[in-house]
Amino acid sequence: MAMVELDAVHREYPLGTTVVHAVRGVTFVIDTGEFVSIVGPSGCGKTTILNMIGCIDKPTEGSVRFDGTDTRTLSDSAAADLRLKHIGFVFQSFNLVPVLTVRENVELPMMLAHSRPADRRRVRDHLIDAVGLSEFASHKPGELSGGQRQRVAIARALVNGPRLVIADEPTANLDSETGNSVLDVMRRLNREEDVTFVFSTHDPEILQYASRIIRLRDGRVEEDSRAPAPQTDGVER
Amino acid sequence: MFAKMALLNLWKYRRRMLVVLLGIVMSVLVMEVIGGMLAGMQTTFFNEILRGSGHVQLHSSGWDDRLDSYSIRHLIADPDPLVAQIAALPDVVRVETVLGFQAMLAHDGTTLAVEGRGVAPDTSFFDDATTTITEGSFVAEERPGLVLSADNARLLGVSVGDTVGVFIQSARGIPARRTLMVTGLFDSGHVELDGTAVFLRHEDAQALLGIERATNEIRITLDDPDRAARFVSDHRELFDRHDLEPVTWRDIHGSLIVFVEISDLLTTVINAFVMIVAASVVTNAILMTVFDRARTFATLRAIGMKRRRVIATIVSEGVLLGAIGSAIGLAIGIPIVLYFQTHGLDMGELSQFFGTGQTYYFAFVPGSSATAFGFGVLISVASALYAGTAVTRVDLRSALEEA
Repeated sequence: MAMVELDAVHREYPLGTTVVHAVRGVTFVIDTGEFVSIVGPSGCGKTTILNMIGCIDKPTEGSVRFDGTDTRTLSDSAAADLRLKHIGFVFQSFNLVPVLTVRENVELPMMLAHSRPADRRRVRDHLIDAVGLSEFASHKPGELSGGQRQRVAIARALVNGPRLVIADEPTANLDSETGNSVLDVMRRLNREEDVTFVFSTHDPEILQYASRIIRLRDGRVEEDSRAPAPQTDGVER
Repeated sequence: MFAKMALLNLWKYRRRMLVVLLGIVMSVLVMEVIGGMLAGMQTTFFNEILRGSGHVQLHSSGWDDRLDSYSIRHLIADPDPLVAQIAALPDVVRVETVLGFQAMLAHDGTTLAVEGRGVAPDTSFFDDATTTITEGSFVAEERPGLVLSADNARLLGVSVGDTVGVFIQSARGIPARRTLMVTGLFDSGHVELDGTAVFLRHEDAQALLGIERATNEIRITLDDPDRAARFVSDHRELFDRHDLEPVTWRDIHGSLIVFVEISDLLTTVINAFVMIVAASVVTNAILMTVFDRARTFATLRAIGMKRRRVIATIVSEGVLLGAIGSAIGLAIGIPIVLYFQTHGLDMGELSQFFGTGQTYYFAFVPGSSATAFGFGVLISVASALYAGTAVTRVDLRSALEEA
């Protein structure tokens, strides 16, 4: 079932007196439950496409549909609502709130969604446990390693039960072992929580985790291939 | 959690927050102290002028203080029954006759032009003189004589017990000379009063001027000065019947009341200036602090926080800072105002110009403090609102990309 549909998407940015063509006519569909990797060299348009899928950005031309809704028609407030309820984000630089603990960072989206305190505690503790950070729940981001921070970000992305998690270079700031463990967690949650993951990377080593690879070059889809069978978990936490 | 975030963020950026707090504290402090000073000046000023003039003055028709405020051509004949009648009216606290005249004092070849006032020994209108006697006593029933300022006594070379020549123009227009004994000296500290005023018993002034059973002024004190105009209109018929022209303290001090209005304007201008300076400091500091966290706010928006919620979070920090800063400003400012309300501030001859004595006494006005507090919070909230609006207008994609 199609969750995300990109149809002839273009994205241009003014840069001084010139215009940067970040995305040039990209078309693809992401189905529910997929574990999709968007790959390509720096500047090929990975982040731009993820931002448009996540309603953080809008296409200059073409359309991006989420569950059939054209995201260009969404107001700022409606886009925020969509992100809150249906989309989780994992950023390359973690983007955790530095003054809050792990527990509070994970709980934050549920507070924004006005979830009941008992539900918040239950889901939060479950996810912190699922990413293996129970003993660090009272720590602040500054007291954690990069891998641990990214796991907090993953837990935060999943806390409102999103249908889609977007991860922009989630392993870029991590060593390979830690990166693998983060991807293991994502893969496992993809299977166990039935969450669709779309993540970008330019690291060929981590492609083994993807069930589908969309390769970009110069803002265009160069290759869209499905792996025969996803790899099993590598290094588990 | 959002309150905790606000508090922790304030603590994390405490140096900049201190700048913000300092800006608010200083602005509230200045507003409180300046407000207290000007309110005190107004209060003192009003008390002084009302105590001196009374709330309503009655003169015989035709009297005009612009022509000759101490003229004895326009007399009120047989004032005692009228004084008794007015004293019995509602709202009236005190009624006195005052006989003003111009005279020249002479002693050992030295002369001095003065303004004489024949008053009751227990007069309530010349506190500045009656309460600052330095030698002898104020005019007394049992001791007729002249009371003048210590300064003028020194100029004339006289002291208590000496006699001085008093040159006047009698009611019939004939120059006359009398001799009176100096019975008291005062030192009010007011340039005008010390420089020109001499006092004697009302009946002695009558005798000096050759007037029998007459005066040229009746002064009335009411229980509320703001009712003076109403009092005059209520009793207009009585005054007309006696051919009297009533004037209220507002008529008498019209030009001085303009000064009070100017001081109100001055307060507004000072407050506006303080607010502009404080707002620019506070806005810059808050803007810097907020834009330091632009990526955090962008992350919050990315995970679903709405723009207005982000602004509300930043404004809540502003409210907190404004309230704390304003409270500190008042905690410092109110004791300063209260201190000078009790002890006064010596302003030298500057204050004498306004007839308020050498010392300014501040006045603590709770409403003024509340206004200063409100302004402090307003500055902070407005600055935070501006910063919040500005940071949420930044393109979300760009804000997230900023490292």
